[in-house]
Amino acid sequence: MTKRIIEVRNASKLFKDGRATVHALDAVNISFNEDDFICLVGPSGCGKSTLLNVFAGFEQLDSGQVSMFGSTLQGPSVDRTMVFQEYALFPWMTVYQNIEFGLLHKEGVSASDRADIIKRYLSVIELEVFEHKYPHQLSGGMRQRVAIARALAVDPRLLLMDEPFAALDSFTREKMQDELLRILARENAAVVFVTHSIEEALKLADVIVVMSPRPGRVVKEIRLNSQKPRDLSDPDIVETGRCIRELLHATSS
Amino acid sequence: MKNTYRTATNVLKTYLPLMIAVIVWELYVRIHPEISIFLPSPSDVFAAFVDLIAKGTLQTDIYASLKRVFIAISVAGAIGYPLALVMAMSKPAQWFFEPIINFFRPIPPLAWIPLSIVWFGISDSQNIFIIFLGAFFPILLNTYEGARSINDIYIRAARNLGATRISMFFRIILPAALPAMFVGLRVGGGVAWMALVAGELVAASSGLGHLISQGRLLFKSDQIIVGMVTIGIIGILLDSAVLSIQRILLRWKDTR
Repeated sequence: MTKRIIEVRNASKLFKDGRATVHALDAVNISFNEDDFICLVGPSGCGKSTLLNVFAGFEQLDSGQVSMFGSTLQGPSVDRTMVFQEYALFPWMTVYQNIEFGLLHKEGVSASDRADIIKRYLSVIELEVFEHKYPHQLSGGMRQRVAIARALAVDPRLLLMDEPFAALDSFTREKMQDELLRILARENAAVVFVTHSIEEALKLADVIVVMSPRPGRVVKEIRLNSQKPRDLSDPDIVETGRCIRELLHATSS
Repeated sequence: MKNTYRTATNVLKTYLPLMIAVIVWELYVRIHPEISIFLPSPSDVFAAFVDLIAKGTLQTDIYASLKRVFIAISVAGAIGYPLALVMAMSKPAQWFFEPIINFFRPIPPLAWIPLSIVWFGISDSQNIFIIFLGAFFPILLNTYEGARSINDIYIRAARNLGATRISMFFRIILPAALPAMFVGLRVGGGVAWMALVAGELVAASSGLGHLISQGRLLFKSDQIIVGMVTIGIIGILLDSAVLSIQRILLRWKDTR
């Protein structure tokens, strides 16, 4: 029996855009299972990043409630770590120190545990030889692997990913999608992954949440049951993709 | 060998114009010896330099000036850096200090000289006060701006990874502000060095500024020029010392 990790009830959030008020989120109801990989897709302005920031504790809802394992979210926590589109690695820290940062604030992690955990993640992301390099010495794909390791090293229950591969070239991007699935296979974190790309969602998600803009709403939740890695030319997948595309066109016109 | 040769030619290429200028200067004074009391030739200046070192005057004056500058910059840093960081992190501190600083900032350090003489007399403390004023504002303002303009994504990422207040300060804000702190030190150091000479010209009984003003009283143009050149060279050396420390501490910066 799978447990609910996140429950969003009647979530609304307003933004002031000059004189106009924009509903970034309008009465959103949604819940996620503990071991799901959820992709939020939709055009800009549909509230997918806002929802992610609410999960991270960076932003507050105007009304409604988000709870994690039944208790209301309060501020940022190492339970819910984020991988940002712009990497957000600390440029003054080496790869090793970046991965270490979250562990320094986690209770019950001794210095030797810390070293073990960092070594393990360095090997998972295959960057052992780069441990003493600074972020500016790495390629975009390598930086994002470090950011993923940094977020996972604290053993979060929820991994939040805000268009993490959008800044990468398409070749690196595809490679990173495979990498991510490989890395996550050993983790027990649920993932909420924001993307513009329907292909990316079809490749990675267990559940695709399609959202529409102005006001930001959930249009449909689609569960994909086929095994990963997926063949995007599989007729079922193609059909699902077509369906999502139609939904997005219907809502944005 | 080839590399040494290349370095030597590079140095030659860089300083050739300067050498030509010095040679022209030397020749001009040789051709018109009557002006040498106003403009001594480079070889006369060099002779005066050797003479001042032999008497020990130059070393004493360099030491006196450097001591003042180091004390003044240390005090300026000890007050300016923490104050700037506190102002950047705390709204009440910003509210209180910003108008006060903005009021005093446009007053040039040199305008403080008369008042400082009334307060401290003609003493080391008076000189140090003027130099301190020169270094303080660049250090404070650059650090303040640097700490305020830290990219918000680093703050978010740090909070997301559970950063405590102490961790946020020492591992995020301080290193992120460090480049701006160095800019402040270099600008402040330059202003301090100028303020030093100005202060010593007016009110001091030692130091390189004093050496120059003695040269004027005794009508010794060569001594004046020795003082000026020494001030220039020490200024360059101090700045390149700060630059090398900066290169080590900021090696994480993408310099491409």
